Amino acid sequence: MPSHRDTILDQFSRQAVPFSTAAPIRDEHALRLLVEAAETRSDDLVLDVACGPGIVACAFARVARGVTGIDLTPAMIERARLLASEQQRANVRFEIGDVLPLPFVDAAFSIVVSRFAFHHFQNPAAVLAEMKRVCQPGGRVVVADLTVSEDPRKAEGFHRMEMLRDPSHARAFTVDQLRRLYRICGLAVAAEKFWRMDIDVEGLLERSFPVPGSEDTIRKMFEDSVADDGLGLGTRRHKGRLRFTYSNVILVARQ
Amino acid sequence: MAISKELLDILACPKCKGAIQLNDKQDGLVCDACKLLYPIKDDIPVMLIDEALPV
Repeated sequence: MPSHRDTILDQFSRQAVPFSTAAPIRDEHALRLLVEAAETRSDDLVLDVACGPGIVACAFARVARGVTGIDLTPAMIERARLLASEQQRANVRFEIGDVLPLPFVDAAFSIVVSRFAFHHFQNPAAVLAEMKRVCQPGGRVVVADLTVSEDPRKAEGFHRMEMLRDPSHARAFTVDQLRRLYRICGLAVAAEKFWRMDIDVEGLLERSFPVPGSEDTIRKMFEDSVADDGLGLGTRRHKGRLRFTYSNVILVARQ
Repeated sequence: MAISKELLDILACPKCKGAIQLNDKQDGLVCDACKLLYPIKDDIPVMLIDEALPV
């Protein structure tokens, strides 16, 4: 059985191009919400943890003095560099590296952010503690991620579907569980922002690399959830297509 | 783009979290304590213990 790290590398090498070009991922409104929630200023030094294709790093680079993005997957870093070069961002740089530990000295950054990554971590509390360690006193530790339903049955339904759709998935949290992670790490949440992403099921499957042979099972899980919302994603039919909504949260704490 | 002084100041060895420095050939970052070299490939530091080379 491949390790979680091997699965991450496999999934994200294949997802690098389709993920980095997906409209919901590049949504400007959501990026601005994140940069503003972090109270980003022109003198900030930002770390983007598990930066993927660098979309978040480049969004922060419009405002901040400097941005560093770190990711385990070389194919993602390649996309990130391309994006930074397309956007002519000279104040952003990227590294290949893991999140445990983060290869930076204590208090190296004034903003440490991670978007859409926590549900891939096997030890999210340890990652958050690392984010806190590399953040300066008075800096902001910011996690943005999708959330699951507070109803355990729906959360479990989502988990089962997501493990098929993206085997690098670890565990998505409810908003309250994410708040608890912050508390465990001694971080007081100072601000919370919410946003939603409406997603077309077939569009999502086109940019996914599910467990081989599981596509029809995944489709059926979505179809079944139209009646009972068994995935907690508000799945519905719209103009003949299956659609659902990710409910996302941004948590901001002052270090 | 070369590795800047500013980046060197904040990078740490992922094994011991201690200081690292640019090697003479400027193609890797060395942790003297762990005796490991983290390669710089196409200007991208690869800060992975698995891919570090003994020095």
